[in-house]
Amino acid sequence: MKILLIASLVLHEAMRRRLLLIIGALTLLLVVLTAWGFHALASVHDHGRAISHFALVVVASTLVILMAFMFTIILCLGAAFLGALSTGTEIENGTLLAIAPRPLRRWELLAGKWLGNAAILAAYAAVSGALEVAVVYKMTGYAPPHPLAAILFLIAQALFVLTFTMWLSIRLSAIAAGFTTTVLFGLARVVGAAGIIGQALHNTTVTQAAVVASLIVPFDGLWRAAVYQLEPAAMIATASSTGSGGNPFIELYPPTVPYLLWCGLWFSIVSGLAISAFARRDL
Amino acid sequence: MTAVIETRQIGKAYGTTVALADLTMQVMRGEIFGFLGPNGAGKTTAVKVLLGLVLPTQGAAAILGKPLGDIPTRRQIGYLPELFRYQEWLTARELLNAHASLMEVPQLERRPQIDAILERIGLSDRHRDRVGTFSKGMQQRLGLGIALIGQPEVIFLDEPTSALDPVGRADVRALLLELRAKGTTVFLNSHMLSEVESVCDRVAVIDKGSVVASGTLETLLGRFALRVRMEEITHAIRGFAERYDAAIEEDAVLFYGLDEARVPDLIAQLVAAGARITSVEPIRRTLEQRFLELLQKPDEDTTDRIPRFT
Ligand SMILES: Nc1ncnc2c1ncn2[C@@H]1O[C@H](COP(=O)(O)OP(=O)(O)OP(=O)(O)O)[C@@H](O)[C@H]1O
Ligand SMILES: [Mg+2]
Repeated sequence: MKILLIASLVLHEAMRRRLLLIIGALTLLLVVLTAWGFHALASVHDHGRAISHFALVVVASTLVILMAFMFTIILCLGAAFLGALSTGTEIENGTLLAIAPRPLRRWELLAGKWLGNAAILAAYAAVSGALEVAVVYKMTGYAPPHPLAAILFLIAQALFVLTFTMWLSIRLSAIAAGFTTTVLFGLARVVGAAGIIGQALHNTTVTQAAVVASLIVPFDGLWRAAVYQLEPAAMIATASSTGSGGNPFIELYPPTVPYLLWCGLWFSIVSGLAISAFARRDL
Repeated sequence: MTAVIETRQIGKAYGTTVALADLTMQVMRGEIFGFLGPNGAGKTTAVKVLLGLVLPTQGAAAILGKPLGDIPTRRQIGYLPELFRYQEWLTARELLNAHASLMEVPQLERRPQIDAILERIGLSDRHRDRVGTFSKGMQQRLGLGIALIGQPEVIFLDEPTSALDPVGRADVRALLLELRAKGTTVFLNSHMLSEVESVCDRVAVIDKGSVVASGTLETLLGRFALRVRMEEITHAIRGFAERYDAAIEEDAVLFYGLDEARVPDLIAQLVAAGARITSVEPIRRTLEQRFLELLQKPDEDTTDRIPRFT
């Protein structure tokens, strides 16, 4: 109950500070731009003839993945912002002084904060993602194979970033926590790509280093899992026959079960670290 | 009388900074307990430890008989932080409401209780305004209101009048007396010695993280003091004064902790010692004077225990 109360305060704040309004407006803007772009794509003519359905699918699916790539960056940066600001800032400026001595446990306070922010991120991703997929389908008739699964992976990635930043913001200053997560998020992308290049070049050192790094900060794997859900079968087939890879926009394999299990464990570990750090934090 | 707050050798060190050395004290049910000390003495740290905001590095304490951090006990604790800051995007009423639900005030009682509190802190006409638009003093009043939510048995006020105007200060004094009448225990951190003097039942003075004096105001201030003015403070008078708890002023000797019945004897002895007395004024030491003495000139035995390196 207390957790929900704290979460509702987070939502209330997001509303009062016009965050929800801005997110809504930006989403709408993006949808309009997408609609316009895909409409233009569908009406492209090649020497007087409309482009073939196959060409349209290739272009549309690539564009959808590019959009998802942009969106995942927005979502994760947003998660880093929220994670750093919500708890870290309130520790720093003393807003928690009046809340923490109330009859609720520290972990409940933290869980409430997490839940409120997670709800904002998940709702944003779900609404935005659904609208974009719908718009693309309406304009071109193309739909990615598993949009729901893709959105869920994107949300999972954002929640990982959120949790990680919240943990850091308890140990570091809010601004340092946000910055650190952003850098690690970028590094995770590079490391992910390096791993694939290492594989392609049969360089075990690079591959192993990349694997270790991606286990420590498993953000990139979730992005790849999302990409896989967005790729039409033909695209995967073409990519594997031409041996293309090593870029963040093509993924040939679905996420493995051990990786997903590791993700679950990672999430539990980081949450546990955050809870224990917060329980011992002097306010 | 039962102890509502009990601490045993509580200490808190931040790295090498000792904020609280070994605080041992008791606060009894229904009393207004004044906690005094100079800047940096550890008052705020002590309150934060008691509220579970800061983990002590040594010692133990109990509030209402339960160890620190006990969740159900927190239902009985109110707190106004020294550096108060509230969710500025909420309105005053929404904020009080949020705290009422955190404090598990039954739904039906919330509205009347919040209305009464708003009235009491003089913010009834601003209850729909955002906290962020309030002046500092208004925010402190709101903080007092938040400390009162749920009618807690123990209330910690860390310098509750630091941002208030003289009217507000008088209001707080009245509020403290109302709370005492209701049997609420109040732990009051303050620099306003006159305020403490007028409302507190007992006080503790801390310096550098430990208690240097404590007790009722009467024991702390001495029941009675006498200022004897004379034409000249001779050597003999000086020696005489040193045998008492006395302070020597330019043209007077100030005797503390006297029993009134002993005054005639004292005067006779002074005259016998050659004093040419010009006036005799019975006085009470103010808390401020005692406070300054305690901090400037620690008791002899304390001085002995602290090694001095020069
Ligand atoms: N978070 C902290 N980190 C390091 N030192 C601290 C911290 N908080 C307090 N201190 C130190 O602990 C000591 C006691 O501080 P505290 O705030 O308890 O004093 P105080 O008696 O409330 O003073 P004031 O009258 O100025 O409010 C000070 O020396 C202070 O520098
Ligand atoms: Mg203080």
